[in-house]
Amino acid sequence: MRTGELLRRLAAHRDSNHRLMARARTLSPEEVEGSTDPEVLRIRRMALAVRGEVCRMRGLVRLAPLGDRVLWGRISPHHDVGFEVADFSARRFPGKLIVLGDGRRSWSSLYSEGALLHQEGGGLAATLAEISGIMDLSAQGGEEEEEEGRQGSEEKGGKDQAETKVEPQHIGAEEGAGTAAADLWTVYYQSQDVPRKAGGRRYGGRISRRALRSAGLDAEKGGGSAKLQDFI
Amino acid sequence: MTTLEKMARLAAGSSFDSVGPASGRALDLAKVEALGRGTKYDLCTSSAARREREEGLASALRGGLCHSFTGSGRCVSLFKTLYTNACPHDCGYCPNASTSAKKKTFAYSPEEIARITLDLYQENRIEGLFLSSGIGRDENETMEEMIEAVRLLRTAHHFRGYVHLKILPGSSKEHVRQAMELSDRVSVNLEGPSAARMAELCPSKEYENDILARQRYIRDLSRDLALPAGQTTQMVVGAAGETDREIFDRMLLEYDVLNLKRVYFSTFTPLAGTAFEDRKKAPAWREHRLYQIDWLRRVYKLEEGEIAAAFDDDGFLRNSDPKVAIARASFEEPIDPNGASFAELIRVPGIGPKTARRILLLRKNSRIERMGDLAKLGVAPRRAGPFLQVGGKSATTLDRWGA
Repeated sequence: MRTGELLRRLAAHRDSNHRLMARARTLSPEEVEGSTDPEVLRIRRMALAVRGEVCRMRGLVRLAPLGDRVLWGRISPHHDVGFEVADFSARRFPGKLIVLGDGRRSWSSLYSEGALLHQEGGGLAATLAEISGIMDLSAQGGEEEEEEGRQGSEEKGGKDQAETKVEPQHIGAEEGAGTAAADLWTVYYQSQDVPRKAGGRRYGGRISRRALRSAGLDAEKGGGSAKLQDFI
Repeated sequence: MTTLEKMARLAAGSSFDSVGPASGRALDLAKVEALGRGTKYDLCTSSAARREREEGLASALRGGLCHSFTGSGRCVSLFKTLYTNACPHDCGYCPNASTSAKKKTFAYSPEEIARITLDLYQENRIEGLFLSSGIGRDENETMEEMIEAVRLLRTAHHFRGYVHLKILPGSSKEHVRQAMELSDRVSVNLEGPSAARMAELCPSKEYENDILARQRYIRDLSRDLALPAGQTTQMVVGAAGETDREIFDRMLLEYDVLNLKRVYFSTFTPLAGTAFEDRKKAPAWREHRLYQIDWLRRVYKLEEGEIAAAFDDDGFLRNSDPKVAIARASFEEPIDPNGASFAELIRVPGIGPKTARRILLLRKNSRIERMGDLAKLGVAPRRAGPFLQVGGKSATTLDRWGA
């Protein structure tokens, strides 16, 4: 890992401190790679943990439309990677405002005319409501996120994310569209399962429970998109 | 004006929208399920593609992304589907074959493929498209429609996500060229390691003409056309009595002569209604051991003669790490990591190229006197111990000298 990336990753780690940053500045890429010094090993592990989280979040976050110019999704990263994940989607969909976050924090990113614009905000629901007001959309989603944020983080509360996540269909402007894609995904996802090749490493074995909760995956958690009404 | 307000107004004023609105139209989910299921034994793994940054909707990542894993632990990063499950071929293992107990046939239109891909892509559920197909009425007609689906994505929607397109057996050279122009990766399924095995698996396919000739088209055309993720292929393992050695020999030809990027293996699973439904299923570990051999050849660059030590007298791999069998045959005695070359280090079980490089870096500044030092670098001590001499000691065990 190059020094610039190492410092960036380390700075984003939740346990990063000035002493570790100062030590990291003195290290060459070779030392980071080949040292057995406990502190260097710790620095390497911390940087890799952040890189791993960025990779998981980029792959696992699900985006839902709010109107036709905003895509939003739920992430609760452990480390300070919100903008990096939001930027990834913003570059992918130029001109669309990307809003990621949870009950307490949100990261908005827009890639327009070759430049990235950023804004960090409070809870996801509040940010979406503010955007809806500006864009004249009706935002009905995110209230539960806000409630969750008031109760404290999901890690502390231990509450199952599936009960509290913002459902795309809660967003009035796109009602129906999100549901159709979710049904399509559930059917397709299940068509790809080959149980006899399981090999003992189930889905949960690869991705931590925290990452699953954080990304708010339904079909992948085995819950599908069934709701209470489906059984009544 | 706050930054968020400015951003919202900029987004609202932007007219660029490659994805377009979600269709919102109800799809035939039975079709999605049937055509999706038709590809679940197709392998594609990475969605990575090395290519120049292009303007337009996204770009394939160099590292690839796994967007989810199925319950069986398989990565799902692409919308992997058949275009149609109608097929006149008689492959004994395939549920879509003309000889299989007939099921309902479905087909997408190019527009449907493009729309589903974009809808799932916008929600970040997939990284791209993997499009395979039965032959339909005619291989060239179906190939043309598959190409049209990708053309719609690439031109009408400026889609720069990953696309892996299957070349149907017997497709024309012109269709192969068009497919290559639009895709990151193309592949023709070999299915068997030789013409004789293919005759057993699928009598209606001509190995030389339908398969190998198309692979040569791709190899030759790729001299002038950029195909970022290269050509791949796939073999069914254990359906026609072929040995692992036969598969390995074919794999070498594919890499060395046809310049393939990857060869994939799929263990045979007898499916109800197919001609092979009563055949014995191949053990899943066989696929795993073949991938290990593939890795040793492709990444570790081991010679064919060295790898031969991993096969038994009948040409099959054992259900144990082939690297251990190769190391037992290669090393006369344990090696000292302080003096061993990179090539020697990577031949030790429990040491890979990355760890070997770390050992070389560590050696520049200090001697390795304890196994613990190696463990900190990522060496697996239990596996590597019998083949290493550290601090004058070696862990000679039955593992090292046993049969």
